[in-house]
Amino acid sequence: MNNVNKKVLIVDDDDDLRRGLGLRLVSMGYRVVQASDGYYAVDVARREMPDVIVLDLGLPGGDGATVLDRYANSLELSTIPVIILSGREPITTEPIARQYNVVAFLAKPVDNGALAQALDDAAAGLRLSDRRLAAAASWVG
Amino acid sequence: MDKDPYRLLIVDASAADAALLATHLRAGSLVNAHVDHASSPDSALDQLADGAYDAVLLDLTTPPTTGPEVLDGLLPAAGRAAVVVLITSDSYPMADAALQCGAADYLVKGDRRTGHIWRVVVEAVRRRRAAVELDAAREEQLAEKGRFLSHISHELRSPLAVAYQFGSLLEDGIAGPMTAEQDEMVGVMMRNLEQLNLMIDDLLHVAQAEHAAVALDPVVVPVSDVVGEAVAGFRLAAGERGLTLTFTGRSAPDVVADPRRVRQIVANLIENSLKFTASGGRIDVLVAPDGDAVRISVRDTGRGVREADLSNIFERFFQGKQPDRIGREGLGLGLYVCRDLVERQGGRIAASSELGRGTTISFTLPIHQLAGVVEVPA
Repeated sequence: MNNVNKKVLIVDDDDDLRRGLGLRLVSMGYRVVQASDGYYAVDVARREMPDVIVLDLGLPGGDGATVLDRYANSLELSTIPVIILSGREPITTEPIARQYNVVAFLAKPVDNGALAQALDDAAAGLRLSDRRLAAAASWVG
Repeated sequence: MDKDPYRLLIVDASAADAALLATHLRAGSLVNAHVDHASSPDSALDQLADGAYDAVLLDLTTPPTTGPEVLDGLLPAAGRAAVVVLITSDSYPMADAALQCGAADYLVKGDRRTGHIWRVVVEAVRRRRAAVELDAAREEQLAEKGRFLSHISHELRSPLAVAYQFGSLLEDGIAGPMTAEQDEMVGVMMRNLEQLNLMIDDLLHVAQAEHAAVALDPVVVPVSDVVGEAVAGFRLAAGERGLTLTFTGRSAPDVVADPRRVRQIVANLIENSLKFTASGGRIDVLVAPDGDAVRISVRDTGRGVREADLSNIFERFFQGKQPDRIGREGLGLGLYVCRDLVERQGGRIAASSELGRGTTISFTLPIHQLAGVVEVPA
């Protein structure tokens, strides 16, 4: 896969996590930009126009759900695919994920293979529901 | 004494007996008593559904409400109301049986001691209210414990995620090549981080299970595929430990279950087998139809479980005495979580074992029945 020149925005309030995840994404060929709270999540996204956003849900300055709302209400940002990466349980986050342009819900600590798959899905324009349908179809087959 | 009037419901087929009792209750009360009458358990159920009563006085001597069995239907409907049964002076064993079933107290029909009758009712109401409050407090305490465990589990994941990411960067050589010794050390670190993560999963599950918040998303599942995927995830780990891991059963019928949870159960069982099986041993995973269910078994040639421990292995925090086990103790929650997940999906889980020979843990999931299939005549 060719990730060169693809830009990923990492939104997380944990400096160490952003750094570790950033190194991982750079090793995969992505360019990485970062934001540490809900405010910069929107500000940096507008400025950098990333191809994908990796978003934590527990954030200062507007939590992940608020940030998703802000993306959804912005004409320029609403089409950017989002990968949610959170320590929270899917029970609370999946209903949120289905409402927005979310490609995958990933739980911390992230499985790097699942992260690569989610980034590929984002590039292919798949949403969470599409991917679930595809998975169901492959079971039937 | 309470200021609000007591709302009382007398359930008695005899209107005359009910009226007499109502007179005693009104005469003896220091507060107003609002007394209603139901002539049968069925009409009592209707009245209980309509209004909040403090106590139900249930006659057990006149048909059709004879015997304590009638309590089975009435007690759940009574809700916060205390149930006092009315018996005759020659039927004390019936009073005893009623108290065992959950009645708060009893009165003997024909007893004319007004003060005694009222005292029994007031005491029964007071005890019932205290019990209801205690239940609510317990419920809240449990929910609070769940919220606390859930919060802790989430907070623990953040530093764990960082350690895991940096460990995997080293492991994958992204920070430069490592010596064989460094590689082995990082491998140990990563295995332990994974174990820590599983412990957090278990903690979180227990926290949710106790206030019934475990998310299940049941769908029609080709169970062989799902179990096969879970098994495939352990091929490498089994190989590293010198174990043979096999999977048999490609053609089992579909079941109704949450595939994510099925993977979790199978992964938990295989991890357990990995922990307790020495190098050279084997782990066999089988999927096969079993009546109107599909049975999934994980069989290992590990240390086995002592017979005395076998009935306890699905209990919370249980850890068998295994001085020579491989690896270290977990939280003792893995099999408890498995049982909980299996039973929530309508299945059963069981274990058999022979010390020194191995253990088999198997669980069932209900087969998907095709609904609404209509045969069209030719």
